[in-house]
Amino acid sequence: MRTKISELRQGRKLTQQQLAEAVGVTRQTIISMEQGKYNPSLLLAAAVTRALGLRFIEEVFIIDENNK
Amino acid sequence: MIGKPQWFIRRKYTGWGLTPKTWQGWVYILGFCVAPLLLVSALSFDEEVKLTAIGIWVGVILADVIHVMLSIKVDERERLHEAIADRNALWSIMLMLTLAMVVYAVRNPGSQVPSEVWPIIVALFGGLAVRVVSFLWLSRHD
Repeated sequence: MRTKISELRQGRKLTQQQLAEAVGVTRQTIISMEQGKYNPSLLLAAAVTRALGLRFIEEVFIIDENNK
Repeated sequence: MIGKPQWFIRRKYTGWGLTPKTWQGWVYILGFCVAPLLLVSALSFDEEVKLTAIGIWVGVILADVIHVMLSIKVDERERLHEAIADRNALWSIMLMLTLAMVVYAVRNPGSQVPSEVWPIIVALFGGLAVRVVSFLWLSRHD
């Protein structure tokens, strides 16, 4: 699943480690999500969205037909 | 309990268990695990008393290590990788033990209960190797 985590994170001047600590995961998990290699659970996706100061998961995670 | 989860990380590539992350973790390993066992072995007590003391201390340490392992926070991705790697390791252990039983039955026809330990040791090391390979593959491919 493609994501905008990297751009949004950098826009808020957050490091991967800081975002990881805010969400409660490891830095490696953040890296995997940014690279689109790992599809998070709904809870984790919501936690990342909140940590980036946004309301909707779709603002962070790009859900399209190819994700099925 | 004695150990704290923030002193350790869970092993991924070197087997099952804990690896010290801080100096407190090393003190725990050396001070609570190794030193008492060496001390009891060195003291001139009755063998039965020594064995009982060692047995009790090993039980306490084992319970503590299990408590620490269960307390270490693992995120969902790591938990998933661990579950897959442990599943693969378990299947490979079962497969190797089955093969070892077949080999034993072929070499010792008529014998019912295998008395050799090598199949278990080979199966455990094989399971460990499969676990490491699984972790390496998962870390690359997620």
